[in-house]
Amino acid sequence: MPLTNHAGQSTGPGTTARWVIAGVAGLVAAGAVGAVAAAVRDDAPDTVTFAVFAALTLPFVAALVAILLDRTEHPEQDEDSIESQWTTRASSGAFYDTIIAMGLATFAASVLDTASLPLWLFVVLGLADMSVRLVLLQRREG
Amino acid sequence: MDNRLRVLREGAGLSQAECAHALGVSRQTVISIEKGHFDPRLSLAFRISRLFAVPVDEVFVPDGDLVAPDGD
Repeated sequence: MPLTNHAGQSTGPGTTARWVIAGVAGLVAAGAVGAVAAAVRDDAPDTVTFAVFAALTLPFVAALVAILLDRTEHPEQDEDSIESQWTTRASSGAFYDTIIAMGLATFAASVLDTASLPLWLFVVLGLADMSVRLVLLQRREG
Repeated sequence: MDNRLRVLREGAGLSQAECAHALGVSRQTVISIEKGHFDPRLSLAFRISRLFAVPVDEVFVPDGDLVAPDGD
């Protein structure tokens, strides 16, 4: 069924069409990412590399495309909600913390002449930082 | 920025949940505005003023300018 706005006007593809488009886009992206990974990486058989990277890429891309195609008008206006403001403030603070942590880690690794820390560690730290900030904001202002 | 949202809401006999529903925001947003933790954007400020049929500057006033009603 086509999506409609408050005035009953169609604003995008129907749910089935949206998910078909999202599925096809996911398959194409998964195939491309899997093929590149299989061609570049040499730590596992190509078929295994292709399967792992394609399987991890497909749901992410499909969900992303489905969300982008969703033109449903939601009654909650995110920019008006305190939850939205908490998320913005928490992510902003976590961003600065992550940049500082990466700078200090790079400096320390350079001075000590040690191997630099893996990038995923800062991603995890950044997400943890944002989560803590979000909880603190909710407790303080909620 | 101070505001008279709680006074207006209670005067209209609305719960926080009913007020939030009428404004199209979460109940937490209404709570945060009433506590003075959250200054809404102009669009929400006008929705609030329209809901209670009062001018925006009767809902939101600069800090310290809020005058208590007579008898309070």
